Amino acid sequence: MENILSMAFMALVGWMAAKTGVIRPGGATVLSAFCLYIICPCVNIVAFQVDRGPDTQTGLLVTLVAAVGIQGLYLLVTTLLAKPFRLDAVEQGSLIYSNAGNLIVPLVTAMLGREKILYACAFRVIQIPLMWTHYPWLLNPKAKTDWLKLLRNPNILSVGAGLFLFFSGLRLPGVVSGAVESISDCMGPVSMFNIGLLMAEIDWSLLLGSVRSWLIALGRLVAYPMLFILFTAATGVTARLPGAQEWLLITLLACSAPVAVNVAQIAEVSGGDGPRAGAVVALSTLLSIVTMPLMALLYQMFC
Amino acid sequence: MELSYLLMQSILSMAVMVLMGWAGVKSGVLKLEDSRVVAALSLYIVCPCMMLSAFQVEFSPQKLQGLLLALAAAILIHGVYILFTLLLAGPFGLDGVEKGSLIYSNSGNLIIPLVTSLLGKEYVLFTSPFLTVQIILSWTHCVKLVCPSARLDLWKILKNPNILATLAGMVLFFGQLRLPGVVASAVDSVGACVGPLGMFSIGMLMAGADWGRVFRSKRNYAIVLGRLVLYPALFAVLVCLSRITFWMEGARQVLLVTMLAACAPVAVTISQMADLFGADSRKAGVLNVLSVVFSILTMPLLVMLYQTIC
Repeated sequence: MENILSMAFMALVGWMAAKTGVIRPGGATVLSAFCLYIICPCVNIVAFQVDRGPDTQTGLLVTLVAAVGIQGLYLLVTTLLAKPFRLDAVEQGSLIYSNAGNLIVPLVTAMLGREKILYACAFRVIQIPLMWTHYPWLLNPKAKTDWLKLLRNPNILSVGAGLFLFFSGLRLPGVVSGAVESISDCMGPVSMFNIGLLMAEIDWSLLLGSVRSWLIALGRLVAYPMLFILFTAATGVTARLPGAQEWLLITLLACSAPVAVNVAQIAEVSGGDGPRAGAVVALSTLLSIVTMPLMALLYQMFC
Repeated sequence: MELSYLLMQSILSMAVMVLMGWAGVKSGVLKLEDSRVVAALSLYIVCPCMMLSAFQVEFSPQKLQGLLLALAAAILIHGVYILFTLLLAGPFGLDGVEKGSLIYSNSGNLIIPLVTSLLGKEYVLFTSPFLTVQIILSWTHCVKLVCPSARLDLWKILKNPNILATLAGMVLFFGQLRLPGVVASAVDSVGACVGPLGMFSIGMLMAGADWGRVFRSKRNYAIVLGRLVLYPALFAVLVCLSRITFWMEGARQVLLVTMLAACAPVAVTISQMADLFGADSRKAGVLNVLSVVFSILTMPLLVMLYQTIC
């Protein structure tokens, strides 16, 4: 809770910076590019610079399986819900894809320590390809997927590099790892500023009248993470496998994160309703200050 | 010797970050103008947070003594630099940008991360006297140097976010008030970004530099070596002559912080001011870039000199 409040405070600072004109409009785009192309890749590489003990490997496997399972389930549930509730592409994307990157990584670092970030990466390894193929397809079923572009996504590239270093047991030389580590520590503040800047540019009036947006946000923040809790509790894995509770807590955090910022960005480029998607992102980010600690609490009670 | 080695390592690690900012612009991921957003973020949000968090330490008479010593050293050395530059200006025909580049070093976004990684977070406190003296002088004396017809805006100095943060930090320090946990951890983690962001913005600026011009002019080398070698050596000699490090406990470490600030490359503000007041900002930028490149070598050497003679 305290970590989330402290991050909300940074977002507030970013919001004020935009409102007072210290940072010009458009600053958010610059920071997004920074996050996407420089900071995130550094985070992904640092995450895998840990000792390759049997524990770490099991954890990685467990979180990977959980990530595949839960995202498959989300896809299924959303497809089932789409018909009766007439969900459009942006709404479906908002329900499925959570902000598991620039929100969860700093949170996990603050709560559990840097050496646990790789379990958050396991979730992202599954989410990123899915988000860049399935979601654009939802928005525009005729568009062709650009596989090369997907491979060139800096996040995918850096996770690949991180995994390679991890399994080969190679360590970056001191000078480089010092640089990469201090850059990855900027992930939290920079992405929070970015969210604050985005919020300052949002048209809040889009949200007031829209009950639907609130429902979508609550589905993402409450119903979907609860699905994960139910499943974990049903499998009883946390009772049998030592360490699983902590690993899956990270998966839960990733599942209960607000709508991914990418949902709005991809909507923008693929011809969806970008501004409304942005509004849902902002709304869910705001609500997550309350819902995320609650979900974590529920998880700890049942799992 | 060991400290010089560590310093070299920290500087190289920062050079890696500069390279990343540079590559970001060169690969088209970031635009050259984007460096302004990063600079604004760093100047208005990140640096003030760093200052605030530097003052969030236990009050002790030793720290106060250290602060006063650093303040005295900062005032004295700036006085010496200004005088010395006045003496040199005549025979060498130095212009405003050159004078400014000799006197003012990049004691903020370069030195704070260096001090943090070399000596620890608790020493960042001692960078503030140098920074404060420098900010006040750079918005008065330096503005006059770069643009003699500019009107001084004292209000602007007071509104400088770093000065404000230093004042706020001092109030909290002397009152022994602590920020509440949530705010403190936010301020700490924002402050920790000072190194990477500063380095990125330098790298992005470098991507716009005309390298042919940077390496061609012999005069620029002379100015840069003056800033990086002659001026800091002057400080080391003065400290050595005063013998203060031998009779005052802790003075050696505190003055090492001042020494680091004194041997930093040319201040980025010189380019920004030149830009703002219509002086030769390209030349200022060239001097800045050149001095950053050379500082990778000169800073460890000068720290070694300081440690040998002081």
